[in-house]
Amino acid sequence: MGHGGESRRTQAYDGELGAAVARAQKGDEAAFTVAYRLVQPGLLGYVRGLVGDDAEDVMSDAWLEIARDLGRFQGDGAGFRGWTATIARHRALDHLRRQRVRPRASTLEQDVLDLPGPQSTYDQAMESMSTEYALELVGGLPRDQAEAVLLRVVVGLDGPAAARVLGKRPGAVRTAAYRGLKRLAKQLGVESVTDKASRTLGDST
Amino acid sequence: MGERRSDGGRAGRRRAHPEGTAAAQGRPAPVLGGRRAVDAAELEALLAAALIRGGVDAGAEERAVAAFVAARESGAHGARTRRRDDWRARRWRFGSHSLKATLSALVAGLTLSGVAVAGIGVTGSSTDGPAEDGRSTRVPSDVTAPATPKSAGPGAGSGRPDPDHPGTARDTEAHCRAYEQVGGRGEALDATAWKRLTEAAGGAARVDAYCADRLEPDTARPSSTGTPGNGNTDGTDRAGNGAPGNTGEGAPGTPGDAADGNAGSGAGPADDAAGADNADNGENPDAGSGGVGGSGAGKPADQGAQNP
Repeated sequence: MGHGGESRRTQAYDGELGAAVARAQKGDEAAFTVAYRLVQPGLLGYVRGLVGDDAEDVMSDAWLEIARDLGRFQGDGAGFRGWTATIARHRALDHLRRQRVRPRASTLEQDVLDLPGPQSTYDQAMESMSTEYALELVGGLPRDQAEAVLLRVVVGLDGPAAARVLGKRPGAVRTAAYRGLKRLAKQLGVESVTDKASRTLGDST
Repeated sequence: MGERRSDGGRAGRRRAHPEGTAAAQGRPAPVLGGRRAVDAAELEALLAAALIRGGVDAGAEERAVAAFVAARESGAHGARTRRRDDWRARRWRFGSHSLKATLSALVAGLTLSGVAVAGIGVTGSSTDGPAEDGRSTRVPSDVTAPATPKSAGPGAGSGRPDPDHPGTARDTEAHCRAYEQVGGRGEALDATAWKRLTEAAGGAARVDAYCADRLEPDTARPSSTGTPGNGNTDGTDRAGNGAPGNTGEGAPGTPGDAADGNAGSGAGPADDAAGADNADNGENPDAGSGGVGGSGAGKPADQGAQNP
């Protein structure tokens, strides 16, 4: 399951990404721009799942670190996505820690009571899922599942890479991603039939 | 992707609305093989499409590139690679746990080969003549008996009284000793050793009796390890005599064989004992039995006092 269309899509870019990173490490700023454009959308999607609307700011910080430490990095295109995802995650967690001092609901923590009305969700979702709705769905998952799903689907990491980013065992991350996706599929499938599904979505986390 | 998405939408929708909401749409239903798999992939594609916004913010990109240039100019890119920056190859795919397992397997393998090589050495030294090879410091023809147990350490006196004793039987005996050593708790033994022992005994419940039978002759024999005066006269024929009996097995540490001219073999396996000590950490049952043989030196001495 984990290797859906997204993984394949990102894997196709990995060769290009790896070459761009290698050139950037030699000082080529155009190559750095290429690398940025290849990984930024996925990273932003992942971080958005972690911190919501502050994702742009968090990624801005993350890129400062990535740009600074690029010389330290060793690896290929896939490795670069894992490495940058790790940095982005740390920045996002820092951000969440700061937020805890100055509380404000993050996407992952907020209650998912404001889901779209049950009568239309499934059809709408399948036609085109809005970013907000997708975030709410993913945000309704337990955190480990949400992160595993995001790293896999949005950043395009494979199981071992996602496991390294999360500091967990590959098996645990694979299971979390599987459960998360299964749960999302169930919610999407059942929600339009019964209102109850949207309640369990919020309650069962 | 849009096309795939709409296909998946219809497929999923039909599942969600058996009454046929999708059919009412009037669109041609796509024929999809393995619909469940497609649905899973569709879900991932949907999530990705929703969460990945195309295009990047130009300002953010500029800032990132500016940071890159600044770092380049300041020489920050020459920084040393830390462990967390190394995403090469697949080294990181093995968690610390499996890495540990890999290493212990490696250590066990090396230890085992060390024991095997040591065994070859013992045989060779016996045929080539005593104390001629590089191991002469360990297999000295002129070593006096008091020195022998010292140099051999606890693994001394590994001479088997019966050279025709089959190897598996020796293993079993060694396992018995190990079993005895851990106080009869089989689970404390290496899993393979315990399995072999139970197989040989015909059941876990019978291991006690089985081992008692196997070990009785040896344990009843009085220990002469460390008794000075035995080895010196036997030292001459020790090299020729000892090796055939043990061939570096190093496992069954039966003390009290010095009278049979086996003091030399006791010294020979001293090399093995060194390997066997390492082997205690490994999982190899043979290597483990080597370590056990060493411990047998003390144990039978106690029992020898009790049994006769």
